[in-house]
Amino acid sequence: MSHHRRNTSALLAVLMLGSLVPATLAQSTREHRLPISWSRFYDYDGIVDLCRQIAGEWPELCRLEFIGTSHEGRALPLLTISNPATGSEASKPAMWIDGNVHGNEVQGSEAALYTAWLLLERNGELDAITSLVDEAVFYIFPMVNPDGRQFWFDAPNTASSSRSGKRPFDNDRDGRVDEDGPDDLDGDGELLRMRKRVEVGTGDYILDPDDPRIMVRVSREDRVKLGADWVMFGGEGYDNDGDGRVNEDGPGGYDMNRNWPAGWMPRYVQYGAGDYPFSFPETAAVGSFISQHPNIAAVQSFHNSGGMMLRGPGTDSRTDYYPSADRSVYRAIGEDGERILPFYDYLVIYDDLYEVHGGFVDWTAETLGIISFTNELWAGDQYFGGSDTDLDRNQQRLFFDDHLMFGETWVDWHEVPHPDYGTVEVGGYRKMTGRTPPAFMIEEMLHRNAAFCIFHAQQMPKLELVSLDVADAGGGASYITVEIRNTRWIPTRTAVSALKGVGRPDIVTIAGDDLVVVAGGTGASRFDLASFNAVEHEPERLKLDGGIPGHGSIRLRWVVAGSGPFTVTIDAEKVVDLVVEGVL
Amino acid sequence: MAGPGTVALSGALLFVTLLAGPAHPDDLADRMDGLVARHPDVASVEVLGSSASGKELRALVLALGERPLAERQGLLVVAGLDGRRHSDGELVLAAAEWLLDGPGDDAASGSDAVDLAQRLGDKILVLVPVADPEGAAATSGEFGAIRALPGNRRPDDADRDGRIDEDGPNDLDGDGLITWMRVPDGAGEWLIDEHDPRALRKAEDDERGTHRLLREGLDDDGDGAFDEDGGEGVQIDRNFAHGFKEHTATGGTHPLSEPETKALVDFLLGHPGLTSVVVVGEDDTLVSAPSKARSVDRGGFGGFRDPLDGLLEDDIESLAIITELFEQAADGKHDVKSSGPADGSLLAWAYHQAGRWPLGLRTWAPPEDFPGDDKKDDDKKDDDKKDGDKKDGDGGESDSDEGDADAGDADAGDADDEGDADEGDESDADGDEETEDADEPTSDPESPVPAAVLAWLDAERDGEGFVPWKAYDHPDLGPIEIGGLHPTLLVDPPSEAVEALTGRLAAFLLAVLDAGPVLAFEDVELTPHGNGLVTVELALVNTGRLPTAPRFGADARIVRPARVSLQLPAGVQRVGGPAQILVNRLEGLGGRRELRWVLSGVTKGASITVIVDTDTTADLELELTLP
Repeated sequence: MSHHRRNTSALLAVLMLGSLVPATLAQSTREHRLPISWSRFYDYDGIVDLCRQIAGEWPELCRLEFIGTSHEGRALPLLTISNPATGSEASKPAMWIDGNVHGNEVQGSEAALYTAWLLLERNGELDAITSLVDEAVFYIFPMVNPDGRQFWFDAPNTASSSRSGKRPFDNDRDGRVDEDGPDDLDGDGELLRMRKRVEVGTGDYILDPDDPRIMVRVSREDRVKLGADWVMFGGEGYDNDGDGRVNEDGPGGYDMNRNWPAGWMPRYVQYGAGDYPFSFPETAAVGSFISQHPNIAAVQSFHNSGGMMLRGPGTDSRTDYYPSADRSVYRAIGEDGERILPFYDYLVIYDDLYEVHGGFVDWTAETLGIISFTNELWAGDQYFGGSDTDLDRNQQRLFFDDHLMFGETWVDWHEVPHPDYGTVEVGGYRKMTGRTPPAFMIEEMLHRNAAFCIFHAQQMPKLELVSLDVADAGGGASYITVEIRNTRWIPTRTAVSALKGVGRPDIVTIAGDDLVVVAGGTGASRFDLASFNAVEHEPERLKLDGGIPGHGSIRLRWVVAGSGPFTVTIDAEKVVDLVVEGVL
Repeated sequence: MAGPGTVALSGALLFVTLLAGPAHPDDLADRMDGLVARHPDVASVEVLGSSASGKELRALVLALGERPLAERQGLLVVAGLDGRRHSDGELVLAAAEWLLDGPGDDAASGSDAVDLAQRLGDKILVLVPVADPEGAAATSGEFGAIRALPGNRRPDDADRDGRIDEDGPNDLDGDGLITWMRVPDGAGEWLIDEHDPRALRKAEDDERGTHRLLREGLDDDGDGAFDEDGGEGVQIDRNFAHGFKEHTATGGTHPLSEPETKALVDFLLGHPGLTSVVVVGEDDTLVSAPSKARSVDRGGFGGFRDPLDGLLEDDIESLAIITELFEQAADGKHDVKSSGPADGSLLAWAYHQAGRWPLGLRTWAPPEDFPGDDKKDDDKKDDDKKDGDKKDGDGGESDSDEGDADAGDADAGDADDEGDADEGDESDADGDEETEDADEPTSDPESPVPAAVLAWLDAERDGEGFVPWKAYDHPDLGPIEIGGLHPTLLVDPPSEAVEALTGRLAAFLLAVLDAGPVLAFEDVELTPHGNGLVTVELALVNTGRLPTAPRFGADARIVRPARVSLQLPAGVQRVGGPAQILVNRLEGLGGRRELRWVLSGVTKGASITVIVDTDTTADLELELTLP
């Protein structure tokens, strides 16, 4: 009797070659094969150019394609990283990484691309990365919302504006679309805050006596006593459409991360939902691609900010989509994630953040059965590395601007004429601060998040044969017993997949030219050969809806008649198939 | 357009008999083209989309003049969301023919032809007779034996075994029909009816079954289940977004996953003036009122924190007006009840997510009582008056698609689909029990071969529609019998039911158009105060019968409010009153909103214009000369 693992032989060869490579240079002294500045953010064209550079530099491992077109006509780039020498893309487990579904949450794009770049730069140098490039596929989709991204770069914006895409929408239901967005009153390219001085005691703010840049809100009963003499009007803008409201119907006005079909709710329940799931060209393109790639076993969707590794569900009504077996996988990844990403917490969306209907990772986890995280990149605590500064939040931010950014991110209050309010003052933070790190801290954010993705990808299922045993069953029949182990945290089929009937069960076939399969089943006893859960039909083709658990094994047994060579094949959607050969 | 004298076709001639098989959707398309050719000034065909294999989703549009359809008000009428319901599509087309060609000599209603141009005015009627062209083609025999599955034939792995559509029904006896296999089996739950050995009924609690009922076929893939992965595809009318059930094999992977459903929804969203959606099919909202939402959680960003599981009371009251129009549309009575709107259906979506009036017409339900059984008929009428015993989403729960070995069993299959109309009648049966003679024949409405239906076929159609049971030696099951009802007989209404409704439906559509909201200005008062100051006061009034929007559509901020604004000449300024007034909803028959502005800089004789811009009624403008 002999057996081998057909699909790992090529990998072994690669690993042996890898060991012949001279000791690698440490990253800090290494010349990059493709030097890219990772201490900045790139607009749409810049991101596409980086995609071209990466795919161009490693054409044998990386392919650039465009999987759709945004509302405004921007092509949607997708990088696929896969080593064809170790098997086809469809035969390997894959990780999907995207970013920037919210136009203003720009750093997700760089984080996705940094991951691609890191994998390719260090492939062949670092075994952990080489084996991942050989064993897995990465689908890297840096910009879900390129229109929102480009608008964030091009137009006056805040750190939080341009979250939406650019399909016009009538937010105030007056029959006109996008007619009253924010306005850059003084044309300085920034959208800031507006304040106005009023009669003493009639306002609701005073200026901080230590730093008049800071507005201090005064409670109603103290307004007269403290002489409150300032009011704030919100974001820079005026009443463009004369309806008495300011900035109530700006560009776009929806949220593409509420447009996915898991627990999707219409607009009257969920802001920004869109007309129906996949109603936007960007979400439809992603939906179509992911639905057609059942090999995807891990998902990361980068957002900003807050320092979180989030998993679903988005609402408490869907907790049953996370059975305990899956929760333990999330926990295993999340807990090490908290070590990889200091300042980040492993959290559950509905419980720790807010309720979301129709979120992306809810769809990938709950509808498609994929272990999915969404990281909120950058946490405010990182400005001072978590050290205690004796300053409150406002003072910290201004101190940081004064002494580390040298005034780059703050615009001092200055007078501007306003069409509705007379003269006002505008001032505040520029868009590139608050939700995104300062340039000198970008690369660390990218690297740590890429490392988390790599850790997540390393947990995608991988099968190995534990044992293959043949025993006499009497009367000319034999027992064939196979034990297979999944050496990773993520099961071949998540518990939710079995629970909800997602995807195809793993299928184990046994075949031989001179083999008659009399009975077969799972749950074979280690000691009592007659004890296993025999199936009623098709014992030669066992269907494992529960798959093979993470860091667990299954034992299968057949009663067969005949002789000669036979093959057992484990065919699963999210793992490299395992082929075991034996002889009776 | 055609005048009353240009009767071209008589509806009755066009109805095919059951035995000839249902009309192929192409036949309906030809009839549509014929209408357009005869009435090019009012009728046109718009292709809303196409099925996965490229079958067109065709709409017949009745509209006068060149104004873009998207700016006009009217109705969308849809049939054939379940491809098996051929006659419903015929009805819709026959109604269009009635409107355009005239009622015809044989029209049951006997009504006179209408002046369609006058009745239509600027409004439009859009009619989609076959919303599931794939399913319709399949049940017309285009793809081999006719079977009773309702889906759009999208290939799928219904039993999740890694093989696509590998175990569908098989026409074992080669008669071109997928009927039933009755399999002698002491573990079965069916009994041969003692009064009619052609019929089967479910064994009672104190009886033991003698047969299993399976759809005609083989265990093609040897997995122990029959016909469990047979290319049914997605049921169109379970693929819409309100109440959509995730993780079912026949509902689709996500709401609007199917080209047919997406085409209908995109068309409706692009035509906000199609204020009513009439669905001829499984659900009814015209004979009996749909159920009221059990809990209404108002608040949150968009007006409600949860979707509703029924209609708001105000809207049920409005629907009662429409029900009255339906009753008055022709002589006689149509009282086929049903539940509805079902979860995942177009009708449910139209109300809950598109703010339209959901008007469901069920043309027919298979008889549950024996012909001439007056007593039961009376009971049924009493029962019809009861309210609140509706079961919603029934069709969604009747899926035969869980992929388990029982999928082929009749009780999990289509028989349930037919059960909706019959909720009231179950209590009927209970009520009769005390007085019932033990030997009196009964009929099991859940049976795919119910005794009452056979009796009806005997009485009305010489038994045609029943395929006699014939012995068959089955390779997997041994000696069995194959037979039962024609596969679509319990679903597809008979031609006479459709014929009886043609005039009523046509007249009803016009009546709903007539009853729509109409905006007018009333009580205009212009008060000069001197110094060029004038107060303008007037009321915006809905003089139509129906409200400007369903209560839910307005409160859930789905229907766009009417926007009232002023156009002022140079020099005149608005010094009091808002630049625009959004009027969310006005009740019918006099619902009003008072409007008031103060203007300055007015010179005597200057004229201003009050403008109303709205989706659900014609726009309105009033020019006022200021004192």
